[in-house]
Amino acid sequence: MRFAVVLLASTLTAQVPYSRLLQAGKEPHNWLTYSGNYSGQRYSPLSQINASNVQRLQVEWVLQTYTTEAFETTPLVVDGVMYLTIGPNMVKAIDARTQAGLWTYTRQIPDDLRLCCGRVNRGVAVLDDMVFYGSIDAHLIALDAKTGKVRWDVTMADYKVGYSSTGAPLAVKDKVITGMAGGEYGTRGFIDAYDAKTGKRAWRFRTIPEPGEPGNDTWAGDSWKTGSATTWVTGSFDADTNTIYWGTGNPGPDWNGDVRKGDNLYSDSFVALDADTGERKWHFQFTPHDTHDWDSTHVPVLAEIPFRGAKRKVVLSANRNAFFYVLNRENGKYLHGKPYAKQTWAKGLDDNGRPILFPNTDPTVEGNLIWPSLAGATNWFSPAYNPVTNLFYAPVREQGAYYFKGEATFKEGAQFNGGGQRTNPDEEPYGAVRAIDPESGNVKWEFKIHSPANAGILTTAGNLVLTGVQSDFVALHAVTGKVLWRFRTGGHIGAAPISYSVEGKQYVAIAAGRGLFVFRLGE
Amino acid sequence: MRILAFLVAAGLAAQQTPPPKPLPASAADLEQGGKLYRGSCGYCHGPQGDGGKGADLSKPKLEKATSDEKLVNIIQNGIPGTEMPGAWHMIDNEVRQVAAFVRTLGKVESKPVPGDREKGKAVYAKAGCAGCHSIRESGRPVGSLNGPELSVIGSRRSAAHLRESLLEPAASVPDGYLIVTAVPVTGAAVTGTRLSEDTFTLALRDFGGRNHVFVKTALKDIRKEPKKSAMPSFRGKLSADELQDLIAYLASLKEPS
Repeated sequence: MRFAVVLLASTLTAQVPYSRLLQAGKEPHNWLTYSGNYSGQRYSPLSQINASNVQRLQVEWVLQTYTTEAFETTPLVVDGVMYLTIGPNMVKAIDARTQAGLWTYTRQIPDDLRLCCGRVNRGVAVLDDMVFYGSIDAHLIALDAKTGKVRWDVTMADYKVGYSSTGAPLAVKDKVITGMAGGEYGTRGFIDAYDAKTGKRAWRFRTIPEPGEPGNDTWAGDSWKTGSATTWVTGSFDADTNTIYWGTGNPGPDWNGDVRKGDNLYSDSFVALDADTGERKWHFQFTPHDTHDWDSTHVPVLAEIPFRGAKRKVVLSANRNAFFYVLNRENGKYLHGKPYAKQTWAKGLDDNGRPILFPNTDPTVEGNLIWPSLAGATNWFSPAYNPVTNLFYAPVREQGAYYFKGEATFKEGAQFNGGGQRTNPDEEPYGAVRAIDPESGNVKWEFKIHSPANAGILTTAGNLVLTGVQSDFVALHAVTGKVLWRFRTGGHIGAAPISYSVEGKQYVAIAAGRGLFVFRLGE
Repeated sequence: MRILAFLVAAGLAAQQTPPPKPLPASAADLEQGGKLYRGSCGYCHGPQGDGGKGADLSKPKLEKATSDEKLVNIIQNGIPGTEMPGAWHMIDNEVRQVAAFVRTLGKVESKPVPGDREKGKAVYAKAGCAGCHSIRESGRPVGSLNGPELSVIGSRRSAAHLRESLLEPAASVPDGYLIVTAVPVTGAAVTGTRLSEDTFTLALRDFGGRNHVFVKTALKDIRKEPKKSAMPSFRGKLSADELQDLIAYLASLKEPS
């Protein structure tokens, strides 16, 4: 009888009203949004697995994807049901304890997609009885959470001219918020909100202003039409101020700035939007007139930290441009910034956080050696913030590159790069997990990695930092950075871990190679 | 009938394929091609195209690029299985400019490598090169598999580079031959060629051909010597003629065309 009861419990599909998403911290056994909750901290309050027993962590099961695509998903877990995406075209619901399959949605996708970086996907959003999925051909799809059947399907943009969707949407109130990808195709970025029930678009925030709107004058001529500034990583939400925070990508063409003179707003920025209307409240641009492809498509990490004697509500970011930033969450004002990795492009940041450039740092036809490389001092993979240790954990890449400037002529549907890079052959690049004290920007500890970091980070109330180190899944001590445990998955880790629990047992999950590995404590 | 008609039409279309587009030839194109070349290609092929780590391009006939279209394709996509990468960062026009520039490098008939390759083969045997290197004969490697295979070294390296490697091997160590010394917490240090390394493990092959695998927690130091080569210098060990003959022999070891 007990067996039957357990099965019944795990196949019930729970309703996830907005109130539960808002209070996600109160149900730590679930992982309800891309970053765990709206703050973007990727922090789990679970502590059954902790620094003193993590050595007993062992594989519970592995889900193989049977695909050749890179596997970057962050699964969601709702009351024992796990929802995950598998590139290029699949969403699955499985039992989070046993891996028993509940449903699979497989989308028919075109074979003439325009993609810079693979047919990947990073996850779904849940709200009420629906699961929301951004497809590689730039549709947003609502699936019935119980059956996986399509409830609605809307076209966000035309994949044939270079639009796609790879990031997980974010459900806020009665809307589904989503970004888009296509920064190497001269697209024009946006953040969309759709009515969760009907799929009707509620608002669209264009990341590049039109003529007549403030900021359009930061693009020479018609360059705003093809300036990219895409939004391919999931943002955060602050219910107290009804504000959505979202990162934006590189201006297009990536490496030739001659055709888009000006600051190129709102590329390489965080934008703060009214959740109901999509109106911009503020923006902060990390890299004005970027010519190195340093997208700021990072998860904006919302935290309340001690700062110069008072508690401050801030947005934290370790940026691809190698600087760590602390911004006032309410108005976007720059509070503090400091390099956290080697960089050779800026003398520093001025009082407003604007970089003070070294001369001659732009790409050239013959190649110009600059740190960091185009993959950045970090990249899209999630950082984490632990409110107990008050440390910000960043995956770091230490590598320079020769940047090339090339021709940049826009042709619809074709790559619009204007150059590229060759990584510096005269150094052995490396990586690290660095624990940054947000108030000072100082690195408290570093765990050195043999090659540049490529995976996201989870931190937990169990005093743990969990991440991928090439093919090793590792647990570090959150205060000291000491390696406590590791497991060789045998496949490249490019995703970020999550934690959840079912029936009182805590699990940790990470996509590695072409498998989802789920761990729990051995007896 | 419809199928037959289609086939006939397709056949006609194939016959009427226009001749390949000629490479750009204006002075501006060649100048731009030169700049792009120096940025992306010169590092291996030499600023003058006379080779180095990469093949010598300063000759009228390039073995792999027998047509302009083949040359464009090689620049664009690289040569699989070799160190030659594709220039993903160049658009078609830029690739064609580089190809046009590369063709200007070979306008002068290059002189054959001096020396007697048959005598050079004897020098190769006498100097003990096969103790580390191998050369394929009838598809089978002859010599030791520990060092780089030399079966087509004449296609990959210029004569000048071969000379440098014989006299000063450490000046340019090929990829995959980094010398590493692992110093265990207890026990003797081991020096060899690095086979693999990640955050937690290190594998190397010592000069006796034995493989060693270390978990890094058992090591107290890892010394990397990128400016060292396992190969001894032959400076002063070979006469000038012997050296030239050996270079001539190695330069003659080419890809079958």
